[in-house]
Amino acid sequence: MKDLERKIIYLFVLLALLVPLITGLVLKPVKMDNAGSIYTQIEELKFKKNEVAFVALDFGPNTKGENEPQSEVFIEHLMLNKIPFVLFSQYFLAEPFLKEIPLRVSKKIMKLYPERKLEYGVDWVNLGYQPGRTQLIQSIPKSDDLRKIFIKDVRGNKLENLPIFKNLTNFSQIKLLAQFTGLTGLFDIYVSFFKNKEHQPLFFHGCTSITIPDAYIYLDSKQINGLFEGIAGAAWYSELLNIDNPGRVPDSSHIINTMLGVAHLVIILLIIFGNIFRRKL
Amino acid sequence: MSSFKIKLIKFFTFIGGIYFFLEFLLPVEYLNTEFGFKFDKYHDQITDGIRTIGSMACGLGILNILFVHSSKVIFKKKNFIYSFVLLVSLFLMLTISITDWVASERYAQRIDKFNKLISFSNHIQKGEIENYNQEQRNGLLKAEFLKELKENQKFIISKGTDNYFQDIENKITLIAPNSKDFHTQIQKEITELIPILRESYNTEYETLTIRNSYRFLYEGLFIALGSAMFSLLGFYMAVAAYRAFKIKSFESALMVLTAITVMLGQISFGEMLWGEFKHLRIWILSNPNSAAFRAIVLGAEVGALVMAFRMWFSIESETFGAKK
Repeated sequence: MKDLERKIIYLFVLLALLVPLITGLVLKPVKMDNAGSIYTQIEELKFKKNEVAFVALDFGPNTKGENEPQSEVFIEHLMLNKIPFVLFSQYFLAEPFLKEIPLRVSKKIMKLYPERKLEYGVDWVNLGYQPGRTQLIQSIPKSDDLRKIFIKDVRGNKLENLPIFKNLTNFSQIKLLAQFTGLTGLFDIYVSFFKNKEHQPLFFHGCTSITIPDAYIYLDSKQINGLFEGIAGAAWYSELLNIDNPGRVPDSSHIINTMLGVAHLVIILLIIFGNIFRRKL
Repeated sequence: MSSFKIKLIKFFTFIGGIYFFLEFLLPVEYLNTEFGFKFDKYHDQITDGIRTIGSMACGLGILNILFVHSSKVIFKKKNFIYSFVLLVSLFLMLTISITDWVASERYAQRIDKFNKLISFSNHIQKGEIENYNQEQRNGLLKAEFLKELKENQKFIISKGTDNYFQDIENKITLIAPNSKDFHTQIQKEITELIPILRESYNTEYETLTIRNSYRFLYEGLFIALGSAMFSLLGFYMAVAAYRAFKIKSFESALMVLTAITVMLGQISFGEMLWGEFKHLRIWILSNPNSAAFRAIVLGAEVGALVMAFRMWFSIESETFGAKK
């Protein structure tokens, strides 16, 4: 009986995930104020010449479902606003995402706005996987020349030869940091060490639904300036991008959000049924 | 482990600990004046050293895998076939990754040659090249540029047009080495050429067989398997929700209600049911949740601090050479 119950539940979950995927059902995401706040701040930010954003994609295949759409919409927004950014990761499994996401997004933008030219080295640089964790993050705000820490990009180009890094030396030129992870331990390092006495970049964080409670304490204390709350945050951000960019090709966040929404509903119903029918067990 | 080795490890652990302790906690002005020199002068080098030591763990891991699994294969121990598959996968991935890295480096070096030409031009302008006269030096630079240009002809044509290559070649040929703006013109041409070459190299690199093999193994297999493993959790959680989320007391009722509210506050169906779910969710996360999490984090951090002190003074359980 127990085995049959389990199989039926598996079937329900599978159906919950498959139905939106097959039918293309997309529900309007819930308004997420914390993701919306990131959007507004990016819109209002004024980047001076030689100022950049740092984007850390500290996720792998395990949390790709939520972190990838988050980073995709954020990178798209940076590119749309012509904000140059530097990508890196402290997680070795992130390598394909560091490469694929900006390429995919740049192609998408150039298709939507043919007059825009997005170019590697000018609009973004990929530093790849960077080992060192705490020591690495501590050394960034202390460094006199950021190019001495990272030296080369993932393609083997010397950083001083890349347009973004030509005049990028100082930590104060990093205007904002966005970090996406579902791993515990990686996020706190940035909160503690990615700042110095003179400068503290804006800090946006993208977490998975499971780690939202953990991230909220930093949001409440204003140690982070915005939060992508799981896939729902990414879907709402994508909705905002849709409003401002008519004709934009939708990303995967809406469909994943709908799939997970249906799956959540199934779980809620299972909790209710479990309490009604399995009370005696 | 001999007593001397243990003492040596303890000594270096203490020195490492005291450096980071002082470097992080003491104000910069104290560090500079009290010690008579900039205390963190070599911080970048020390950090590099730690990262290097960290990377060594990788080599140690590979050696360990080799010892454990190759002995299983050699002596045909139980389930040795899995060890064999593991070793084959390890070597296959290592070979492909290293070849892929070498290929990417080769393209980077080609770009670097053009950057070196810019640097050479700057040196000539500053008068830092002693041999030859100015015109001869400029001639050398021009000849080198033309040589590199020819070597990269196919990449320029593949990205630009046939005419573009001809145009740029003619333009450079026409720049007189004794003209006043020789260096400005040369540098302008190189700077314009680099992004074209970079894209062209990248396009070719992405079509290499080694790149495709890497992508197949890493992105096609490894990443997909990793995602599949994690997605199974969703199914287990659904079963757990049905079986374990039981209302048996006031506390469990509170927990179930909170969980349902937080879920409904995040999904579209919740908003369809009642628009206030999302506000309720934020209140729960910002207030009771934050209070509880802060307490947990504070407790864990105090524990971590104590642990750090124990490790610093090497009084943590005898990791090396436990007493028999």
